[in-house]
Amino acid sequence: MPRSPQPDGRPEPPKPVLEPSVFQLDEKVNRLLPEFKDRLAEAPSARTADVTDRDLGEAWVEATLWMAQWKFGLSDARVKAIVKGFFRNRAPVLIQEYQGLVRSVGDDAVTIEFEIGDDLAARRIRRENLRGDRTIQVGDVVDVTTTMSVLPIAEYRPTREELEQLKRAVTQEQSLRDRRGREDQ
Amino acid sequence: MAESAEQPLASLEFLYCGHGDTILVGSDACWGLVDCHLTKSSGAHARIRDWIEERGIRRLDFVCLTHPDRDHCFGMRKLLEECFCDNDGVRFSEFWDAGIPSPLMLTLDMKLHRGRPTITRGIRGLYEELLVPLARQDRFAWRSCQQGFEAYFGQFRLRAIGPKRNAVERWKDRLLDGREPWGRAHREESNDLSVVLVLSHRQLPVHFLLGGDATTRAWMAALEYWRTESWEEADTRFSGVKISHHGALSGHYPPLYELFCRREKTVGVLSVGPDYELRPDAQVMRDLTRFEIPVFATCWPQSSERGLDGLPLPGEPLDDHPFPREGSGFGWNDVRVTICCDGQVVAKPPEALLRLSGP
Repeated sequence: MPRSPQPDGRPEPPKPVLEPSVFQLDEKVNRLLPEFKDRLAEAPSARTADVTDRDLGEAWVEATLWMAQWKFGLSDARVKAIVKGFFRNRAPVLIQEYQGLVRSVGDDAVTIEFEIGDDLAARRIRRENLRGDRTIQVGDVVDVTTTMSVLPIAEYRPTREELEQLKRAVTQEQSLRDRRGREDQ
Repeated sequence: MAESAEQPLASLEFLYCGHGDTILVGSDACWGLVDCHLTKSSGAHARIRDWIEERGIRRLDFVCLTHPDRDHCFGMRKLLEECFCDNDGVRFSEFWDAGIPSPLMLTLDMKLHRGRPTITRGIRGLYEELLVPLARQDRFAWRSCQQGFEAYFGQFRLRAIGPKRNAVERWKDRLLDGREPWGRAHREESNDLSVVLVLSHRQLPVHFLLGGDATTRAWMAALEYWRTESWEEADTRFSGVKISHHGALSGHYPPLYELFCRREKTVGVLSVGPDYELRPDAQVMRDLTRFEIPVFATCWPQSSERGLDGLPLPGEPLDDHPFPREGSGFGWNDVRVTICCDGQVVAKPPEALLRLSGP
C-alpha cells in the first residue's frame, strides 16, 4: 500500500519496528560492535579472540540500553545470552545458573550433581576452576554455571492433545484460586 | 535522616540472600512474606529461621510470590513447610501470586527452555506439592494479586497496582489458543507480569512500593494505574521503593523516581549480591543519584575505587561467591526499613547506604 506523502511532498518515512526479533537484535549487536566483530573474524576461533569480560559487559550494556529504548518484551537474560553467544560460540546460547550438590571431592576435582528439568546431570570441575571457597565438602550446595543452546522458541507449537491436557490442568488450578472471594460474592 | 524515637508502625526486613529477594513485612503483630530466596550459601536460610524464632512469629497473614523466578521463590516451599505447616495445621492465611497458572509456567519452561531448574524445581515443589494439595482442602486462601486487588494488614492496606488483569488473561489465552506458535504468544515474560504492591498506611500519607522484578513496560502500566487509583490521597508519592529487578536496566523507569518520589526523603532499597556482575546497572545508579534517592543495599562495595560511581562496572570480574567473604571488597547486611508513627521512613544499617559520587 503506498504511503501518504508528507506536506513537503516527500513520502512518509517507514515506521519503526516496535518489536524487533531476536535476529534483529543480533544485527544490532553486529552494528554496534564492529571492532569486536573484526577481532573475532581475524581470530582462528572465538575462544582465542582477544575479547575480555569487560568487552562483553560493554556490549551487554549497549544491547540492554537499546532494548530499553525500544521497550520490547525480550527478557534481559535473553539479550545477555545472545550477546554472550555472539562472542563465545557465534551462536546464541543460554548462560544458566544452577544449584548443585557436591557428590565427591577428589584431590584435583570435585563432582557436582545438578538437575536439568527432570534429569540429573553431573559435572567434574577442576579445583582451580572452583569459585569462591575451596574448602568444599561432600553434601555442600554450590552454584554451577553452564551453557546450553537456545531452542528455536518461535517454532514451538503444542499439539491438540497437549493443549487439551493443559487447559484441563489450568482450569483445575483456576478453580482453587479466589474461592473465598467468590463465596463472599 | 534522623531516626524517629517513636514506636514503629511497620517494619520491612530485606534479608541479604545473594542475588534475590526475601522480604518480611510486619505491622501490629501481623506478618507477611514477599518472595523468598533462601540459599544456604548466602546464610539466608539459617538467618530467616532464627529471625522468625526470635520474634516468635507463629503465623503469616500473607505470602506473596511476585513472579515465578528462582531468585524469588527458591526455598519458599521449604520455609513454609518448616515454619508454617505442622500437625496443628497451616499457619499462613493467604497466598498471593500474579495469577499465572503453574501448569502453564512449567510446560512453557520445559518446552521452550528445556526445563530450567531455575523455575521448574522451585515452582513444581511449591505449587504441585504444597499449594495445590492444601488449597484442595481449603487450608488457606489463594488469591490472584492483580490491579485492583486490596487487603488490610495491621494499620496498613496493601494494594496491587500491577500486573494488569487483562495482561495475564491475554498471555494465558494466547498460549492456550494453539493457533500461533508459543514463541510469538510468549512475548510477555514473567517479569512483565510481576506483582507490584503498594503498602499504604490507612491514615498517614505513607506508601511503600514493592515491585518484584517489574520491567519498564510493567512500571509504565502500574504507575498509570496508581495515578488514577490514588487521586484522592493527600500525597501519592512513595516514601520507600524496592528498586526493581536488583537494579537492572530492564526494570528501570526514571519517571518513577522523578515524579513519584521525594528527593532525599524517599528511601530506596536494593537487594543485590556480589555474584551478579550486571546488577545494579551503572545507568540506574546514576539516575538514582540524579534524583537524590538514598539507596540502601543488602550488599555493597566497600571500596570507592571499584568502578564508576563507586560501583563495580558491568563486566568487571567480581568475587562471585554469594556470601561476601572478608577481603572480597564487599560488605553485606540485612536492611531494615521502619515506618515510624510520624510517617517518617528510616532505613538501617547506615553502612548499607551507598555513597555515590558523580563520574
